[in-house]
Amino acid sequence: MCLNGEKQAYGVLVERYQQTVFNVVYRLLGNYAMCEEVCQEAFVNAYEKLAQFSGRSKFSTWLCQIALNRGRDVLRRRGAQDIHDDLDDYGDVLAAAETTNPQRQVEDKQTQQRVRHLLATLPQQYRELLVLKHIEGYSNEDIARILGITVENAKIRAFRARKMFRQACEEGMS
Amino acid sequence: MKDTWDQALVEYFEGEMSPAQRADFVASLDEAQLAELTALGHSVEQLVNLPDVVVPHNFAAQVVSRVEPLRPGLRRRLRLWLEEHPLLGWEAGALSFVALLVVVVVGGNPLPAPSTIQHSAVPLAGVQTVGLEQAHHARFSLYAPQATTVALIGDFNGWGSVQEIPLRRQIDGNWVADLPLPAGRYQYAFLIDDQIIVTDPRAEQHVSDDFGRRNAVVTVL
Repeated sequence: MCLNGEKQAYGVLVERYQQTVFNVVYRLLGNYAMCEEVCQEAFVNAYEKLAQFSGRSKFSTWLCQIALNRGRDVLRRRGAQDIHDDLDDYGDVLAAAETTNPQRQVEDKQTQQRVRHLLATLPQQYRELLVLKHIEGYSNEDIARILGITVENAKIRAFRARKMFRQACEEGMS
Repeated sequence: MKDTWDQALVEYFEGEMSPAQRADFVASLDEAQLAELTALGHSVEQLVNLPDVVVPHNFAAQVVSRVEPLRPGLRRRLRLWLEEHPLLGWEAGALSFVALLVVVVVGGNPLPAPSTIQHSAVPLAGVQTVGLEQAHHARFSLYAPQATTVALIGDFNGWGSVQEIPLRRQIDGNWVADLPLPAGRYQYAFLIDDQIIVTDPRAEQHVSDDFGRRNAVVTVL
């Protein structure tokens, strides 16, 4: 039904995949306001291209690639240096930690901020890989399709990305 | 990546080791290696534990308000029209006649019987058959003098995930691969230096895929 353009049915699809798309785009851009705009554009763009979706790949994979491409466009236009992390301006935009211990909540928030900032220091191609693989849990086959690389290349890039991130963590601690 | 330690780390984090192999691997490490493995595992764990970014509660509604209803395709428009305008007997008959006429005209050049199929004498753009005796062998070529490696990816090898098909470099800057293929129609592209996917500029046809790329098409007879 949705492939014929019914708007309301598409709303259901948006609700199903919006979390993944938000996570991926925010980790790529590091800016919540831009993330929201890019995600909206990606979903609108995907709707307009629904007829091109043949079903040979998963819808989430196809959608994620559209969103990543929109995010990359923004990075190219604005330059990564001009984009600042504004997530803290949005108060409790991050999902509340499960713990009710206030001390623990503060520590968790500090850890999350540190990880976000460390992730943002990595080159874009490695950041994308870590987000897709270790945060969103995509398979190497899906990552290869999304990024337009081979499965073997996805594994090698993931290996390098993990090493870079570990090194960034160590340097961040010292 | 030739380093066995690096290779072992890849296998460990990609889940390519059985539980027993993982245990043996960890037991075989010296202190420095164990420290590196632990640090890598810890950093990955920090990524995995990052919480979801909260999506605004009205996000889906905002998206829906921005999209325009798509114009339905011809087939759907015809169906909708027919649903609204039930046909009389003569109209149905006329429609059937037109449909039959279309089939006859479009199908006026039927495919040859299997026994009469011959390979084209002229190469099909970047792909050509290699000799009549070697039926179903196709030669793929790409001119890329600056490339270090060129591989063939397509329907026939899971787009690189099932099997690697490297092209051989020629002196003149062309890259070539001969591939046995069952008769059929295939989409393909070239992967340059393990990084860049390019279409075959001389393909007999191109089609858009789900990812905005233009795949080349070859028909093997």
